[in-house]
Amino acid sequence: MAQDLLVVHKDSGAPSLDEAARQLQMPVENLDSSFGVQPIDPRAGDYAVMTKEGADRSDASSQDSFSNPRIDTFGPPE
Amino acid sequence: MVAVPVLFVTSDTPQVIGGARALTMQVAPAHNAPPPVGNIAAHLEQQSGLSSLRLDADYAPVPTSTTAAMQVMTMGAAPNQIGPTAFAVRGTIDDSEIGSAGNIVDANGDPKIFADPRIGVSLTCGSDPPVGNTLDVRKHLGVGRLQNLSMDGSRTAIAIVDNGINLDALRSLGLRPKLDVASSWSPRVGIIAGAAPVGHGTMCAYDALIAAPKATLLDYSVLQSTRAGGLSMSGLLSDAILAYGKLLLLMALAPEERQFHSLVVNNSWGMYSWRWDFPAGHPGRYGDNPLHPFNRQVATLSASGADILFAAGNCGPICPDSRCDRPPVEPIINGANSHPDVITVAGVDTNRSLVGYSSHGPGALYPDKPDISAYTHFLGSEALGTGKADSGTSAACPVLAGVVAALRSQYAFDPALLQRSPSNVKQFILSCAVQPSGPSGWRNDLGHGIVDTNGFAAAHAIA
Repeated sequence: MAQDLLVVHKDSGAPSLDEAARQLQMPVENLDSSFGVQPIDPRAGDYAVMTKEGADRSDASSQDSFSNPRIDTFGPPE
Repeated sequence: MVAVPVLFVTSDTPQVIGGARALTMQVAPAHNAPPPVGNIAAHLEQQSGLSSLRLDADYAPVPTSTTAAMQVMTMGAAPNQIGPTAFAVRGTIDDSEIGSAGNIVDANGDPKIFADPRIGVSLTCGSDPPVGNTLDVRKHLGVGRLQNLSMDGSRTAIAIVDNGINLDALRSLGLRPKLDVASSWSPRVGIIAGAAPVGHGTMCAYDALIAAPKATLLDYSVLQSTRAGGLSMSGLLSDAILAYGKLLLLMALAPEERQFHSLVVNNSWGMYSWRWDFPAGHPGRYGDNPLHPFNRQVATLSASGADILFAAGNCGPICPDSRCDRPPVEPIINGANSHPDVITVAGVDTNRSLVGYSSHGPGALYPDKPDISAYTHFLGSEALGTGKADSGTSAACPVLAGVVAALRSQYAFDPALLQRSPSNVKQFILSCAVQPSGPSGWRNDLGHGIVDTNGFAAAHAIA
């Protein structure tokens, strides 16, 4: 299963990976620790996390996750 | 099967002459006169022996000689006087019959079917050799004038979010680049800032230093594909999210804790195809969704004071990259490349002509994209190979990033001064841009025009 990009919220300060996992109701082992918790809009309290490849999210809505598309450089046209 | 345009020569039969006269001179056929060309198409299609030949009924047969032209102009002129090549008509055949078309000959053994190639204005495309060089870019940008105004990138940082910078390569070109290693970053262990293989990121760094030779580079080496068979210049958007997370932390530091007062962020990458994204309507989609985490991060970083630039893309209508959607799916400029808070950069060559691969607007997140054009396809870093152009809108973007950094070296970002906001500085730069022809104002190919620094000496709007 591909990695899911998800958003978590905490009113003051960045959440820890454990806090993010509890909010998402999943084991912290399912979250990609190398990605960690990334600030999206700290003033609004929003941060991004990513699940590990192969993590089971069978109980989660497919509508929760955000696209993580491929990006390429706009160098010499092919 | 693909329909291939062709030209078909045919005899001066009454039908053909009548058809030419009816369409060209808008003369209604006389009673009992031959039918218009639309009804002779079937006859010619049968005559050719090609099952896929379809004639364009709205294209008047063209006389190939003065005699044939007189037959059209003169009522009652005798037909069948000239021969099998008297007139030319156009149509299409399937590409599977191109070979057979070569065997269709007239009584003299001459071919009857010819290619009808596409023609157009000759714009610089990807495989074309470089147009001009770095000196031409410097001249167009007025780098000498900028340096006389002490606009040289001093005390500014340019983050190259790309596949890494090679400092030695830049030094070998006579540059004296500065790199802030502590403020640089890569998601992959073992990647040393400033020591990446020479390539796209080095090209971008070189191009950014053209107008801002004293700027400090930040190496954000994120486009390092680990997918099997992936190009080294690929990545995932999540890598950019990581990079922007670091940049947000950098901008959160107090000014005295940073080595620069202004940050310019160069992004010469994007999402080529809508097929790479979630489907239309999905709430998690990226390309047209301002609520996507990365699009929100861009807004946050801009609000923190960073000037953010994105390349417009290489999906222009004349010679798009092979990775672009075919047929094109609009809007072509998508995701953060179309964000209202960024400067979206199209490409012109040093002849000040739009390059054929530069993406046209509108943008998905903001319609009036691109914002402005800058120079590309010139002989510069040769980081992509000896004699190869710094090209793509990838090169245009850092050329402009350098101009922004040069401006910032005199008009530093200051959160207490509203006139120094990224939005206001962007508007000032756009107001100085010049359209190479036609009226001023925004266009969906060049934006507000080509970057022009003539007005930088009187930057009252951001002073």
